[in-house]
Amino acid sequence: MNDSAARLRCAVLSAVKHDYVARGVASHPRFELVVVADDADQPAWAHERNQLFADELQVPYVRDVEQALQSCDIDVAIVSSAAERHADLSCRAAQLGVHVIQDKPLATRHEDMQRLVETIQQTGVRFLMWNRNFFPAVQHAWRQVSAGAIGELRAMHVDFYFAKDAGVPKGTRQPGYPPLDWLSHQLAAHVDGSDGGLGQLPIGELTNEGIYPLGYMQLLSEREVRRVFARRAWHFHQLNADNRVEDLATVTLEFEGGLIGSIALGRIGAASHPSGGEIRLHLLGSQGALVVNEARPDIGLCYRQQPLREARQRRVANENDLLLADNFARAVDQQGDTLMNVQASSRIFRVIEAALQSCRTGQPANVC
Amino acid sequence: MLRLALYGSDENAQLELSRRLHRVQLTAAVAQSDAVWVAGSRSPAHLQDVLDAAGARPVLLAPEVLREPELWSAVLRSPPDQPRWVANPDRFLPAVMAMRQSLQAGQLGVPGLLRLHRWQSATTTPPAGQMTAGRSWLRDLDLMCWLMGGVPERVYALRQTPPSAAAAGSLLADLSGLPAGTLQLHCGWKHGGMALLDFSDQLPAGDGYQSLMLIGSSGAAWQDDHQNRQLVLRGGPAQTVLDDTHWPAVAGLLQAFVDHVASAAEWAAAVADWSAVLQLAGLIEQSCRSGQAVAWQHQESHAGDLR
Repeated sequence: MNDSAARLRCAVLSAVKHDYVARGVASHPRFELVVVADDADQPAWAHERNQLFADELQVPYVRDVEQALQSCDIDVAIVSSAAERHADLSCRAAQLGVHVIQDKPLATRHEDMQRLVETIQQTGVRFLMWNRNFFPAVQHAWRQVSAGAIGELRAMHVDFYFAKDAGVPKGTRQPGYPPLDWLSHQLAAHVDGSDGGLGQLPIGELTNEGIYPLGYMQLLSEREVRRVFARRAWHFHQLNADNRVEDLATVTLEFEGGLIGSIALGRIGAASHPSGGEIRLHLLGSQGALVVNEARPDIGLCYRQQPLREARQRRVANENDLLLADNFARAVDQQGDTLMNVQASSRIFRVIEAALQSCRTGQPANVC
Repeated sequence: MLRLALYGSDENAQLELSRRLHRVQLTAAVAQSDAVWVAGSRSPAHLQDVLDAAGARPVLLAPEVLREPELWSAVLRSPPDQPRWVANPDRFLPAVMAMRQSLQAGQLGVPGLLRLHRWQSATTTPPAGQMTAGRSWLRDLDLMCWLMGGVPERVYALRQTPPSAAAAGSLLADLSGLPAGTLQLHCGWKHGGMALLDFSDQLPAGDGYQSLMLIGSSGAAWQDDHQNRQLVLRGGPAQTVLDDTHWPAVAGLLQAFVDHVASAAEWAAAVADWSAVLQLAGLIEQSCRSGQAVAWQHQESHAGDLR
């Protein structure tokens, strides 16, 4: 980390979903958040959130994305908008020569993904998909695998369950009541942080969260997925059932070179885990195996009158944000690659796309 | 007091079981018993000798002693005057019982996802008291169906066979252990439930590993060797040790068996369950060979209760 290098001026483009991405970037001394920006035609709730975040940062909020990027001498755009706008905002920033750090998912439509990949390649800007690959436990697994501690990797299994609700349980909507509206729920749920894929378009957890386990697998194996078989269900939440998007999914993966694997993920409800969720990696090699709990190292913190939903076990020594930002800064400085660039992100997008196809057909699907 | 013959068990098993079982006198002699538990067998021919010696006595068999589908079929079709049962001790594991009780009490809601890992070494010697090496993967298929409430409607399976295992042909050739290499199963139920299971016998010699998670619509149960290990510090890297829950499970199973024999009470013996498990194993084999997902032809639930 080079503290004396030039600071990178960042614009936060539409901070309506995950302001943790912007905060994560700002945890690194090289980055400075100088403006929040969005399009003028966005709804009032979006402007309100942007304004609140800008006020907190004590930076201006500009209702014109291009103007903000050009007039504020921006180096980096941080995109954490509604999901269906991710690709468009990232493309617009790239076309102005601005590097991009983007929240997941990469895109919600295949054509948006393709346009983003082409734009990033043509403009030559750096791109980083925000991810969890620098979590201490994931890095531990990577070091062990890289050092050959378990021989050649033969199978990888990732569990990625986060214990959050999404409104009322499935089966609780009374007869005669209309289906739950996706966007209205997400806006209301923002208060307690239980909002999921924010946007007009309902998106399931495989689309929204699949990047994390697939990102681990990409890091650990450096191999491409060739074929998948998947199942999905709206099992827990009425919101998911009404909008027919999965809150639970399982994927079998076949990688190049004979490596196999699986993913199980879901938004399994707040009552199902005492500390926010269960995330584990199971790795089988030719000479051994690793079982890794992604939540470690952690500390137990319990006290009188502790809020019911507050995690009793908390991660410690987690420098994921700092290290992702550092990785990005190095890529900018050296014109190098980021930990998860647009090509890697698009490969993950294609795996998820194939998995959803498999869910529809009931048969394995090739990853195109 | 019922006299129970333990066949295929050693002195340690006698000791462990004698202090756990009620209203039972243990014996090694089949001829002097009222009922027989067959925990191990050297060969199919030897097993047949034991069954012949048992005659009309009720016999309970561990799944591992029935190595081939033909033996399974023969036992499951046993005549009424020669009662033979196959039972899964894993249903009586303390963690599994807690899981099942929570499920039955409605705490977990509708089962949505079952996830199981079972890894061991092909070269590890069998635990004391067990003549049969390893454990049958059919036990886990049975457990899956039992906890998920029936057989899956669709199965997809992948298998990695080790280069050294020339005998790693049909999955059904020997049902008494884990499949040679690695087997990964992906099952789906009509109600939306799903399961992922993987088996491997490719660990280096030493301890194995297993975990079982069951996520329902209103709660979840997590059981993992990773979580249940204790530290041993003897210089160098720390070692971990797992407490053994084998004997409580076997004792639970045998107590249920002898209570049934003593009282002649109805025991929903798991014949239909095992028939379904064998059919499922066939579908898994079919999926491995075809590279396609395979549908279960009969949708009705086969999973009954073992008490």
